[in-house]
Amino acid sequence: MQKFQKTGRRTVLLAMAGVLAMALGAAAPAGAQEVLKIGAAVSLTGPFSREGQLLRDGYDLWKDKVNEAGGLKVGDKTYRVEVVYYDDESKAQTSARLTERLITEDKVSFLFGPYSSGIATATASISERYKILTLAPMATANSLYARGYRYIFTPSPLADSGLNPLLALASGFDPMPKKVAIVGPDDLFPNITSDGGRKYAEGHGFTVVYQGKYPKAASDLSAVATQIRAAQPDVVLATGYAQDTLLLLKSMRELRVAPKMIGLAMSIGVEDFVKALGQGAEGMMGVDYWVPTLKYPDPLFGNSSGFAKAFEAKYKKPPTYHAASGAAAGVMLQLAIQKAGSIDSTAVRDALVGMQGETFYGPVKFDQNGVNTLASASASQLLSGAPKVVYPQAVREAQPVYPLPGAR
Amino acid sequence: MILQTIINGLLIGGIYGLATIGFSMVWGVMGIINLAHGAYIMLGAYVAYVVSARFGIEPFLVVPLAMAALFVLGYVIQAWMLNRVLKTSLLLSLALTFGINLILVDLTVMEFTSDFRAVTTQYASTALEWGEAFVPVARLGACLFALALAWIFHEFLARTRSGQAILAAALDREVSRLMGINPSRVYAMTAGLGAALAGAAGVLSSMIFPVSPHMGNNFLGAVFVITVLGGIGSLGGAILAGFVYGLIQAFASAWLGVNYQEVVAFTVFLLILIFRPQGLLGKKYFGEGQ
Repeated sequence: MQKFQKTGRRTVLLAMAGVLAMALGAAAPAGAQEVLKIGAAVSLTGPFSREGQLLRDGYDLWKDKVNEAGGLKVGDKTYRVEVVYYDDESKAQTSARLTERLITEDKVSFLFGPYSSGIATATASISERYKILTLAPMATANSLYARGYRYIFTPSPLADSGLNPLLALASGFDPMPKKVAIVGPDDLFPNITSDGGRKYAEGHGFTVVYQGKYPKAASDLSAVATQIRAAQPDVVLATGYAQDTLLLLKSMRELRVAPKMIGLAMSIGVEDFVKALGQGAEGMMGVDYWVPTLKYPDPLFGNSSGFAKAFEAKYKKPPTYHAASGAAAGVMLQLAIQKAGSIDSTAVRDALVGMQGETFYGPVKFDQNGVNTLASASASQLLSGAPKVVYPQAVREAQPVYPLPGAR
Repeated sequence: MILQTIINGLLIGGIYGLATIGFSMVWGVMGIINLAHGAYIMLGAYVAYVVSARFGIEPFLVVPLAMAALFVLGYVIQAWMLNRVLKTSLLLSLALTFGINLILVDLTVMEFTSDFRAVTTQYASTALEWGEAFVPVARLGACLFALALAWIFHEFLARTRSGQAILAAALDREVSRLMGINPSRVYAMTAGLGAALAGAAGVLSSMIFPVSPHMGNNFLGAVFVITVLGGIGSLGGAILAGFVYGLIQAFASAWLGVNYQEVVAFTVFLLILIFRPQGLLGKKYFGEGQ
């Protein structure tokens, strides 16, 4: 028994030595590199799980691409990039707690933001307190960037300009549609988008005949559809999320609300719409922060089609703007780090302000508040079941169909 | 506009009523507030989605299948889990059904993801015109179907031995046991039928609402209010209150704005609790089993 135990101990020791040697061996080639840690608490479960996962895919693709290219060179050092992910369960409190943990326990140098403005509002105050720079491509509520926060930046256009591409497109139609209805759930982002859209519409010769809000968890929207029908708009613009927008569109169809144009403040490429509405989705328009036809040069991916190819190669599906915004946030962080020549959060933050350049996502120029003043969005229309870019004209894939067939 | 509002309210009210019957009955017979009821409705909608999307079968024809599947689920959950808890504490049944709800919703997320689906019928965009107003065919069909099911269930309660046993257990648990009724079996039966009706309501609502794993939670609030409004355990009350609730919501939306539909509905709920706590058609002894 005694002997047996001894052998056991020796075997364990040997095994440990082996494991240690293997670990050292694996680490040896990378030993020359240091690690740059970036933290990201995103929604991997819960209502935002889909968008959160797409965002993570974007962050991850950037990380892989940088590491494949030999890492991030800053001065005479080369860093291997590592992203620490946590699942915030689509809850603001959880995201805030995880952000604190990323900063204090995982000691990350920078943060990638969560999905949705509501959650980012909770995490921004924490990253601000620890002075950790956050790039938040999917948090675009104006209120976030009007609080004097110094450490949160977004590459994407702000929420109040969310309907601008659709209205700009509509103002070019002949005859120009006059009466606009704007409708959406009573929530932070939709409300800002709705009010911003109203202002833009009224400034560009439209009349807003109906502006409505409904509760986010409304179970039935036939009343809203009835009100829209009574207002007889030419254009119906919806600022909501996937579920309520789907419900609204179904109710409108049932009550035969058939305007000349239907536009959503979200991407029409989201599969839910195409799958769930079938033929009924034909001709609807949506807004994208990024489309694959953009032609801006990019220091890492080459351009948009380079990004799209890299994404498809890794994930076996075409990218959405969520993923593009995530990868673009990485590229912008990379540019700022190289400009600053350091990975000190405050130095990189100062480098971001005033930084001007281009990525595949579009032109960039950050102001003091963390807003990309050159950001703009595109509009797409579902034609024969596939989203086609119709605005701006420079990147147009197809002529927009207007008015919608069957409009009354 | 007023006519359209009435139509909107009535058509949705029928489905609300059917969705409520099972919940109300389970509460009335056993005193259990079944928080998993919304998940049953959601599962019914998924049965419709899977069968009609894969095989192109008319959603109305899926109702019997969904009811059978949900009956088994409701029966098993009651017989294996809730019946044991009933003997200990009623509060525990709240915690248990809450947990069952979470499990059912999360299993659905795992299988189908959180994507929104829809069951699209050929008549999805057809509507009957009636002067100024439209009557969407899908909603009308769903509402009439719901009423028919409610009537069949009423006949079942009134005319069959099993139905009588359920009513008897609701009236007086102790005496029903003395009359040779096995409460455990009656309870499982009640829970199974309640789940089956929820499944039917799920199939019908899948034609109108987007289908997602979280859709049941939207229903549960309405179902709760309608149960109390109609009188706990009352079948006719549930249907009547379903219509009343649908109309209240429709008019609140039309006159005050859609944002107020819940405010008004819950205000009515509070008024009912104050002035007529037994509900519209409730009798005093229902739901006082404990």
